[in-house]
Amino acid sequence: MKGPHLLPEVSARLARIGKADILVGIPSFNNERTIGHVVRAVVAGLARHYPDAKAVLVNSDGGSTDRTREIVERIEVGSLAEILVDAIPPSLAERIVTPYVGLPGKGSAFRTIFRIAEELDVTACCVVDSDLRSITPEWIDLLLTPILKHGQEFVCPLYARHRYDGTITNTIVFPLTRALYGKTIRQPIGGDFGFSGDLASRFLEYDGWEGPVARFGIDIFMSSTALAEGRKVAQAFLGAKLHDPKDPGGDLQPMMIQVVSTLFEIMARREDAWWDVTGAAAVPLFGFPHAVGLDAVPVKLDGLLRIFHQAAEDLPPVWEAFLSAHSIEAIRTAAAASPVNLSDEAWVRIVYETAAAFRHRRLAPEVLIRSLVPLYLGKVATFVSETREMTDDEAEARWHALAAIYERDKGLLRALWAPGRRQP
Amino acid sequence: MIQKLGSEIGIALERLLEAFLAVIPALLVLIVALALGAAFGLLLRTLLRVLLRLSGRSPEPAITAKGPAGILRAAGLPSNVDRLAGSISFWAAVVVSLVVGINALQPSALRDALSGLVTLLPQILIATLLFVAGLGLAALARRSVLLAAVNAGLPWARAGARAVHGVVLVFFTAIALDHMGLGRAILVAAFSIVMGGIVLALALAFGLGARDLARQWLEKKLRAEADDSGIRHL
Repeated sequence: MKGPHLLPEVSARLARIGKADILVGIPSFNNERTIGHVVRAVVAGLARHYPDAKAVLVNSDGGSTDRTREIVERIEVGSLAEILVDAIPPSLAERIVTPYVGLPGKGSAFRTIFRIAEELDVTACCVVDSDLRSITPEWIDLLLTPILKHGQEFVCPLYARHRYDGTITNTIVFPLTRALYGKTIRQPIGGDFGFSGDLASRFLEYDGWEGPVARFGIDIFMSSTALAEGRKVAQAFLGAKLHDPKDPGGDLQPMMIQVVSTLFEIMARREDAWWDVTGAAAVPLFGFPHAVGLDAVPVKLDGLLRIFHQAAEDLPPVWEAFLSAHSIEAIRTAAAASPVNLSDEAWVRIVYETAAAFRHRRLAPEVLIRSLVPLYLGKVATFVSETREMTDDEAEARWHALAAIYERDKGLLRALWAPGRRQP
Repeated sequence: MIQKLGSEIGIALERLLEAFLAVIPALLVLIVALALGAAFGLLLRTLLRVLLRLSGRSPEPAITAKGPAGILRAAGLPSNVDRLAGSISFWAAVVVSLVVGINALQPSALRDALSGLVTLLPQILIATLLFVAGLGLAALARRSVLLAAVNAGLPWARAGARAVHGVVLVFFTAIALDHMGLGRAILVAAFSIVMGGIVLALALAFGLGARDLARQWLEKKLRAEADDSGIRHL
């Protein structure tokens, strides 16, 4: 068996269960305020949509010191009739609560979930965050049914999000993933995914679990792996995603390092999967997209601009190690403009030059991506300035326009990445 | 008188020529030894590189790999282990051949001088290595402080980075000189005074002069607050 070590009592329970059809994984760390709601939604969703399936709920916990684990084990779902479950199942989903081993982080928690999925030889899995306030039983249907009934192998979430929510996704992850693999996955690091049991086993075969994949890199690792392997990938519209106010994604630098270095690492490992890809195609969308009232994200531009301007003054000696003179001049020009204006073309060139520098190891990955942070903030500030007066649709169109530039300039990436290799 | 002076000069020049001719074979041996050493070093370097590549330890370590390649890359140095091993083996062969060549010289002032230099060589080499390591670490520290300070929006980023670079460089220079036994007592005293002064000045500046900033910074760290832009990044 691949993957992390399991506790003897967990192995014994798995042996008793034997084989299961569905597994739902929930990573957690001190989520006593929200995890009860998540568990109830999952159990109700399984009862309503898959009453006859043998289902297991796995809570992979990072050593919570509050009541998180106790809540998962004991919380009652309540009256199934009240949530319109017609066919009351003979038994509800079995619950397994286990600590995970490895570096503390979401990725390590997922790894234990993948291992249990492999042990139980499940057909379909999904993972949902433990701090969700907006999850409903329908999420389970939307994440699992494309796998179980429509032949899909990986389902990414599609949330209704405020235009200033998810800016790493919008400026780097979405457009670069689309340009690389030729599939329009709007939120490749959404956090809640559905996938086949076979793909869970494939994830376990990865040999870099001691790196950023053990933390926030896990989401882009899963999406990139599925895309690079040519798996059938779909999206599911889940509505709004509301978190607990204590957002684990608050600390920008480590988060960006983990996500972007994983994205580049998979690019390096799977060069053949993206080299010849041109253009981008839509993937199947499950669910019923609808308008959602979203909380405003009040952005303070001062902090972003201060860091970008200071970086334009102080960091050129660092950037010279991996950015072209053309890019550094574009940064200076953007910083001198009012309002700040880091163009799409300049930004895409910067990202491609950074990716190539990562590939050619011009600097340590952490240093490389830390030096990208102020430029990212400059791009976000540019976007905020441009879109303040736009409608939501217009703002969304701006991100798609940026993605089109990534696609158009992919030849530059290839030229920087492997100068001697044939262009398609 | 002039004739005698001319004769003496002639004898002196003759002796000089004899001494020079006596040294030439030994010098030739020294040059040949050095040439052979360099050739052997080149061969060793090529062999080592080929072996390392065949054994899969080089030259393409995983991009986020740990180990020697990761350490070298973190220090901003070339991360090819095979290249580093090749260079070390080449220069080791050259130094060994130099020692062998010097031993071939007849007892003379030249041999004594070169032998003295060779005796000092390990100390000079280690001191040089310490200084070079200091240069690397100082550059690393300067870049880390610069990036961290710029990303935190601190206005003194460049000055702080330069200061850290200087402190690290002074520290390693002091270690290198101390290793060579140069002005040890003065070095220790001067270094203690300078470092103590810097630490005290920083402590006073941060703890008293910037008391409010210190409190805010600690509160922010302890509460692990998100950045205040309002943006949700993921």
